Amino acid sequence: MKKATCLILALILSLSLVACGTNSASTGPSASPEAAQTAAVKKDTLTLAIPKDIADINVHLYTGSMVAQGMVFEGLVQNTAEGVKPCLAESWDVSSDGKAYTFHLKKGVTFTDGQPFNAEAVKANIDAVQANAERHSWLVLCKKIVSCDVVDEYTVNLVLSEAYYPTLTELGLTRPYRMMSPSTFINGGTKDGVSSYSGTGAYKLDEHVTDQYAVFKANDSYWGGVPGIKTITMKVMPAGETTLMAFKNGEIDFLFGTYASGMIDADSLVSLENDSKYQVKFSDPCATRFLITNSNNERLISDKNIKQAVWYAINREEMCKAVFSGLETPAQTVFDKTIPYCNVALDARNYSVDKAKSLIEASGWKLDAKTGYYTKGGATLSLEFVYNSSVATNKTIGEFIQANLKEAGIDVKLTPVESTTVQQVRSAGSYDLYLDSSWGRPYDPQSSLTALFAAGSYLNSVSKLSCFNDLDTWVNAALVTTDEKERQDYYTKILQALQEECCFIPLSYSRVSIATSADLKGLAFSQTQYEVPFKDFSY
Amino acid sequence: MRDYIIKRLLFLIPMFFIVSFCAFVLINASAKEPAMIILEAQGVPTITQELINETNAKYGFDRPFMVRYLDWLENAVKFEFGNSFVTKKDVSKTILTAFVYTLQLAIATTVTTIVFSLILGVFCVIWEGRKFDKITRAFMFVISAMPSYWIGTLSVWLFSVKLTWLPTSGVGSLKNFILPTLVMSISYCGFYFRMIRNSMLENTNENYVYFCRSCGVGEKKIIKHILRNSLQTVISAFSMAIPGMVAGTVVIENVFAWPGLGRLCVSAIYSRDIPIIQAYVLLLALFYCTFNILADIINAAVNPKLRKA
Repeated sequence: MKKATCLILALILSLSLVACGTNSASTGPSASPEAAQTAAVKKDTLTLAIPKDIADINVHLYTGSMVAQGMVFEGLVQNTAEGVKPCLAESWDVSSDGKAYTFHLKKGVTFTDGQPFNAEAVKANIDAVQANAERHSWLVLCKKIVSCDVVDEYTVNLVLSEAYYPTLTELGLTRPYRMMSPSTFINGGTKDGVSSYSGTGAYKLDEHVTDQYAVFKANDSYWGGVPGIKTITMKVMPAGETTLMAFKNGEIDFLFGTYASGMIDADSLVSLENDSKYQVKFSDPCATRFLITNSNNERLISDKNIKQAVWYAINREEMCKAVFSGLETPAQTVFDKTIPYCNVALDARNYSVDKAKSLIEASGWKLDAKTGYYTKGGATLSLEFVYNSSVATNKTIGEFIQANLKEAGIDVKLTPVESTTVQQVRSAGSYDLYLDSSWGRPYDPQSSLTALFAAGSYLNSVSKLSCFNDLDTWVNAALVTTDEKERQDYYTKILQALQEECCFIPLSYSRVSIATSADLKGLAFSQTQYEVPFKDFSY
Repeated sequence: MRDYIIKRLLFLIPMFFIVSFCAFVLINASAKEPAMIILEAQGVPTITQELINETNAKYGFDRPFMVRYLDWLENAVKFEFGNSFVTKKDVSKTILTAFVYTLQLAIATTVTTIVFSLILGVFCVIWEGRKFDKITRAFMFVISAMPSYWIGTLSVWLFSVKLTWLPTSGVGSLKNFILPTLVMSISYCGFYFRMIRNSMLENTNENYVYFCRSCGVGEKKIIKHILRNSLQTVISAFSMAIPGMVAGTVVIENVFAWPGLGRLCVSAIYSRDIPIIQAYVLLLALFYCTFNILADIINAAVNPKLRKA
């Protein structure tokens, strides 16, 4: 009996060891015969894994997958690395006071349901979004639009209450200002849903089985030319081993995501990168991971010296290596220098435990040799660190920072919060440090900065900053000025104030990764981390 | 027997009211306003008070609690649970689709478990104390002690990636059933095969067995009698295992990307999709009650003494 048990145990153990070893040592097993045959015949299909269902992709609401919305719906303009470029609008004129935008629309474009795209359709879409303005309160443009008027069949005039420089950028965002066929509107609008998903994009939704898959077919009458990849299937897969094995088995041939939202871990990405069967690409830094500090006086972190000490005590280089396997890069400013208006010289606070300790001591704290933490008047220097527990990486980041700050004599209490209550905790400001990310390009810097003044966002945490009123004035002035130099000056002042006050403690710049088969050509990234330019891909 | 069945079925009615009330109260007992939960589920980036008021009015959350409960109950009786907050799709259809997938898996697992448990149990009794019995017990002991997600991952690696015999995950063909059914059956087999074996071994010492042997009844026939007499406890335990399989397949469904009830419920919990959670709780509770009653009826049919209880 004992012998038999030992034998079975040994067999299972060896099997599992071999299986576990495949992650790093595997040279990539050959795809299944069926999968290989499929790949040989159909070189115009792509199957990607997605962590959850695409849901309702009504682009005027927020429940649907942005990747899917980006494939089906287009805006008047598009955000590119070279700035805002034409999309459904061929060109535009801006009035000298910056309050009126006249768009000259592309002719001959039709929605996938056969309806023509024209000025009436643009007006119907913009009016539908404005009819649900409260839902889009995060977007400043929504508050500025006064009307959308039809000039002629292919010309529309967008009237704003005052000049707003990110108008074009925000019109090009994935949502809410993209165009859906007005014939699909319900009750004359889109806030109660749409009868079907009909856009002008390179793809159309062909089949959707909730929680299983969604199939997108190329739009044969696409104005920009029929894309090389004719069929894209999005399969709902659990993140982790199953997806990695399905990828190696050839059942999935495209993985996409940031480190936090990625379907496979960093080590697996690195192992795929070393395998000639696959290609792994990383985008430029696209968003910033940071800690928001609470400026409320009853919080210990409101002391500027303590904020600075936290900044100095975090070893970002080590964090990027240990936590992100080198897939993210250390950040010393809240926005990367390549973000518009953010190429400003700001003082870095490089890792230095001694510097952190001297700053804490300058605020009257004494190191307790027994506990290893600073104390003042019997109270320990203890900070509450809140993070969204549904993102697995957040816990690791929290633990890394906890260990770093312990070295500097700061106690960190980690408080995981479910994703469903995170927004409530954030807006209530019940934390010392809150782990978050910027929305990335093209939302940065304007949308991330306006979030500072939104009650549902960071307002409670930053309203006690000594420079709060100045920040408010500068941000508003930067958004409405039509003078480019003046705007840059405002942004310089804003970024300097934020850096000086340690309002955000930057941690790292995140990137988007793509893993796919080696023969897929034209791989590129969109300006936003939430979309993939599938129409440019081909075999 | 008929009276007994009617009595047991009538028991379902008060259970339905209790369960439905619990499902409704517990979800509404959340510290958060329902409107806030809906807006978060719908991914609204910034939630304002005006938006909360608008949502309260739209979904009728400004009405008294009992009015909302009775409304919901009236619809629940008609199997109407409204639309999902996230997908906007009909909850009844969504739940039913997922339920069918899970039920398919549960039935496949049940059949596999019964077949393997019976075969292994019977042969272990026939060859009690011999190599087959020892190896089988040792193997089942070790394998049923392993977590199913681990066996699942190992089996995917072996059968899908290395041998390329089977798909790694998903649904669509009979091949897709093999791995999840196998992995789920393993843990159940470990328990039921042992139960059958023990129960049969207890029965081998009963007087009727000695009597049969002394009368010269063949060994095969004796085993049949023993098996029949041993099944009562197994049937009862298995009746409760079926709803357990339907409710507890979350891990397997995740490993094999199976679009069943477990995955649906977990994603609904994460996104606070209340209509789906309420419908899930109500259905599963009723499913448990029904199977409990079914087990009682089967036992009563097998053992008439129980009908008086």
